[in-house]
Amino acid sequence: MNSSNLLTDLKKRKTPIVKIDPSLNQYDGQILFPEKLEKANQMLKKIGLPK
Amino acid sequence: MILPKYPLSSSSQLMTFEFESEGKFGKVAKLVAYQPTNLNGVYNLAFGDKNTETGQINDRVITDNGDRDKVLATVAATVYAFTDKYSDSWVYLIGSTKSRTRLYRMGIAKFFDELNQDFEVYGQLNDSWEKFRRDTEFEGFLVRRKQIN
Repeated sequence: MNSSNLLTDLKKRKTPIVKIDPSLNQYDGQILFPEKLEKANQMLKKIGLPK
Repeated sequence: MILPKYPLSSSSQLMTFEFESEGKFGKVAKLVAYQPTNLNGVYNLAFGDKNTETGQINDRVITDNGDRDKVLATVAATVYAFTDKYSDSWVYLIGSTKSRTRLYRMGIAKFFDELNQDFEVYGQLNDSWEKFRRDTEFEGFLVRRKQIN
């Protein structure tokens, strides 16, 4: 694949190329917006998932 | 998505993503985090501006940086990256305010033809789930990667 085709292919990719940054690991599992998460939990408890 | 997107960084487990919006007010760090709910396999998408000094996230600020579509396309790209790794997971999306939920609805509607090729997309309406339609004011959204048998 030449560089022009590679560039076109990269632009069309739906899944992005992601650079891993370990400094972001601190946010994994951290509850950023507790009220919003609680609202989501209540809604999921009430109506569950689509059938 | 072929739309322009910002380069993404991610935590090692692809649970938290960061990118930088560039627009009329300069550079603004954005964070997208997938947070587990009490229901196994369902994640809440948290999205907001990151204060680069404190690391705190604000999901209520309206940046209006003039790059809304590029930001929405980048958030959508994180859903692709997340569900590439966690392919059975559901992602729940609701705005911090009604106007933010409306913004998400506009984003989904704009990219729906493309999203619908790869995702099951549902809208929350009156305590039930319905297949997403562009003309309905849904209160929240739930998406899952289409399962390939």
